Amino acid sequence: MTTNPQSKELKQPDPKREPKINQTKEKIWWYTLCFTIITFTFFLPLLKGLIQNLTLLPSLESYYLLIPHTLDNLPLTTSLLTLLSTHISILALQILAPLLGIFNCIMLFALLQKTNLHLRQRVFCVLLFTTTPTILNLFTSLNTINCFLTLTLLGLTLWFSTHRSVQMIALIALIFATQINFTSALFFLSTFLTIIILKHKNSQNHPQSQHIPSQNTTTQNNPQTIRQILITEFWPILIISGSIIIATITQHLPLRNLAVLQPTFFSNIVYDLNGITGMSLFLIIIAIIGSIHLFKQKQHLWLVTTPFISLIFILLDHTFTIPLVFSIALLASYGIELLYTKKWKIQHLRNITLLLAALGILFTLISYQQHQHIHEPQPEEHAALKWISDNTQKRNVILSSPEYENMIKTVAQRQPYNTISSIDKQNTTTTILHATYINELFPLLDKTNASIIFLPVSLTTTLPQDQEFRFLLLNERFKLIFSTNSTQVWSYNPENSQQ
Amino acid sequence: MNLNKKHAIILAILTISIFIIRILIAFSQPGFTYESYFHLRHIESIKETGLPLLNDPLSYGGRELRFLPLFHYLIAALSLILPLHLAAILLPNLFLALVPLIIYVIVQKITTNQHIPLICASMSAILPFLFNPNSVTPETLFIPLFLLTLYAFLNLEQPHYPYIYTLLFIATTLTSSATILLILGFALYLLLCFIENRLVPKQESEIVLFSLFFFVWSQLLFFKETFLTQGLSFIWQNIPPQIIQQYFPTASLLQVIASITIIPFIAGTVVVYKNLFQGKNAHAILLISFALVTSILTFFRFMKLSFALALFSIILTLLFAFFYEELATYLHKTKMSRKTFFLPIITSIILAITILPATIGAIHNQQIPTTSEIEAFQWLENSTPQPGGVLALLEEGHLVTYFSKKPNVMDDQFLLIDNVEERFNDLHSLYTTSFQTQAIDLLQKYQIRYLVLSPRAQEIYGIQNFRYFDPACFVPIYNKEVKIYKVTCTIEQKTPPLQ
Repeated sequence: MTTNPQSKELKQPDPKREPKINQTKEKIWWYTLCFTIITFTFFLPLLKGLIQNLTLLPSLESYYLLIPHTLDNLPLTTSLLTLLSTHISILALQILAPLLGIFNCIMLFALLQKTNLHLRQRVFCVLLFTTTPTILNLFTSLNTINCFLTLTLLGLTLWFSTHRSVQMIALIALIFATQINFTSALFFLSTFLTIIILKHKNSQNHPQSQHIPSQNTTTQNNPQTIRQILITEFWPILIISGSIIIATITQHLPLRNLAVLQPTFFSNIVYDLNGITGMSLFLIIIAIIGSIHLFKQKQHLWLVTTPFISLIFILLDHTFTIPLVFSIALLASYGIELLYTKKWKIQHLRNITLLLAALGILFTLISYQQHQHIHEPQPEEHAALKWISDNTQKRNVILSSPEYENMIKTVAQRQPYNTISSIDKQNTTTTILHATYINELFPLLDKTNASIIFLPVSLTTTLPQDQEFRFLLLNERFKLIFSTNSTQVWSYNPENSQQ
Repeated sequence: MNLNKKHAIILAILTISIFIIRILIAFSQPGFTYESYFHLRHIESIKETGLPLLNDPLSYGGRELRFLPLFHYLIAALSLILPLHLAAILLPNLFLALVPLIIYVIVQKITTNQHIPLICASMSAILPFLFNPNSVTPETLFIPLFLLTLYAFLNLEQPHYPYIYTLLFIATTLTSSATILLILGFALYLLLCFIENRLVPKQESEIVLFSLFFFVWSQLLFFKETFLTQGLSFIWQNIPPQIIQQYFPTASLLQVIASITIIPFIAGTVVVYKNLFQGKNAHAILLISFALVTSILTFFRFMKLSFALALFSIILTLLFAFFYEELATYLHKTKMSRKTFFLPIITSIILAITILPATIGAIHNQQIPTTSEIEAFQWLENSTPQPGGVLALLEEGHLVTYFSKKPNVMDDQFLLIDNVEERFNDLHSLYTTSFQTQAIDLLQKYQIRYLVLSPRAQEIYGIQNFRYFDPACFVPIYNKEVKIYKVTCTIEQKTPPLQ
């Protein structure tokens, strides 16, 4: 060791530099972990499909954008999506969806950085949100709701820029986000309003932390009038509201997602309890822990109410569970952070509890991957509908389950009788499928004008074979014209029904 | 745990006496309760193959089963040394004979009176709902484990008890799904402490958190398929609506009081009132939480009444300790202070007088098949080499699979069974219909070759013989108290005629 004071200083480490290096390392580690998991979970269904050489879309909903719609009848964004979908290949649609998913995660990170959440909490929030079956199901193929999410996150991320031109681009994205259906538009409007109110309150409380140009500084010391507030802060809300009203009047913006059959209220909430999609039960438990922690600390109490408010949107559209999933994921991030950082008296139990929480969420993920094929269209169904397209007349009407409406229109290129939007036709079809006598069945069938009956796997495995409709198919007016594995196509000849 | 020598001797005598009485009663009966034979079959399977029958070829003609196996493995382990019949009598009765011992140590922990632990231990030895010596069910293991877990929870501040609690809780979870009672009881306890601004020791909330996560994870792991297909209706075990009243009967308050006897009920009510509205005893609040949770679960039919009453009786026994302590303290302050040594004797006599009649009644009310029924089912295995299903009552279903080693139509394990309501209706029709064609059609549907008409079936349906009986189609092959017929006719299927 030298006695030269200068060399002594050079040898001592810089106390300010080391924590920064550690922070950067920590950031890199968490981001790498997060994006590795997300990329794997989003691309896994695509990889499985490629390995199995499947050429069909992984959900019945995805076929909605491939239907040759009359674009005048569709909302603006849906029309553009339909135009895009019909001009690119099915494989491209499937690759685009997980890429959109990753893009959404990046934007969600960017948005969460504007909050006061710790890095770990942001990572937990994004991970917990994107590994729910709801979000994984959303990003298996291009559809209206994942586009809504992308446009919303893009718009909100750009909105926080200081450049007016970027904010204009954001506004355009946000307007497009609200041109899909009324429920999602209403949700976006209420969220955007909340963000603006919070931002306004924040700027009132901490004027020095504002990034807004100096035109507002002159008003800092003078209370703003409502007119001034409306002009400076809430003008985007007015524009977006106006666009929604115009779309509702001119394009008949639908109330809910028309691409998918409305399930029961609870079907899309908890995946582990007989849900079609939804969240893990463990996620909800961790969110409850996070809520209790926020309640006890009396911090961000408004966050605790967001899941309940989200239920309103689910009431309007039972498939629109993104707000609920995000609010639960956000609360769960507080819960996980609490479990992770708090010192337990019985320390080994903490580690086991965290491990169980991770295993629980992983369990849901694995169950979803194992069971998702039940809700996916099967290759044999695609083959049957292709056969119908090649071997039957264009004027034939097809009777089947309502969830196959999109696939029948796209693959078979025929008109289905039973549709997602018509409750009457769904009831008639249910009566037909459970008819026990032919004098009850034939008048109903004649009413539908259906000449082809398409029985997908979901019907052939649930309808009793030697009773009701499937037993009545033995009648000579029905003819089995195509069959592969568990899928059947029958023709019905109504001409002799008058005898 | 400090054991007075005199008390230790009395406890040992009590435990051994109760064990011997239970064994003697068990051996005096011809067999086990109807439901016990389900568990015996799986114990046999574990003994032979190391695994329970998760794919049972006989129940319902072939089905999947999911249940928690710890109890079955314990009996199977003992049956390696002793005959199965002996092991099945000894172990469950030993488990329940240990309950007074556990009650003693719990009451010693929660009170300071020297007499009351012995009084409560004696009381628990003769509780009517625990006195079912011929029952080989996981509940016989669950109850002592539940009490031991509770005892470990009360001693968490002592070293090693957190580990003991963890092991006991894991064992309880692997025995019965009724462990939810522990979780909900703890949760309610924490909530009541929060409302009363009572500080909860840190290790208690940590243990509860770990317990919650472990319980949910283990249930999802064991019952994954059940949750994914049936969701929350798993709680009602897929019981057909026609007989749900039998499993979850609505009992009036008077019936409940009569079942658990008047003195524990009154004592419990007084203790609940004093501690919820006046007192500050944390242990009492914990027990009250369990009492409340049991009541709520029973009211909403989430728990079978008989099991709920058994747990309720135990909790009231523990609450009686507080009542007695307060009574003794009060009497010490009065003019009767010199005569308080009579109090334990008088209390014991009164309790014995009120509880023993109910206990004797419970022993006689055990649902056990008669010797003639058992012989009939055994004869069916030995004398009918041809395969084929057996028609028997729902409760006799396990006798068919255990003794006759043949498929049954239905038994009381309803989980993961499709169309259970339809099956129950068909079973009911086979005992009540007068139409031979309908009967033979149903017999063919379930591939039934043998019909069993027991005295119990005759009594339930008010018949001496099957109404569609015809010697040409139903050949009597066994005719004692129980009648057995062989089905010799079939029906050919025809296409329905045009109308």
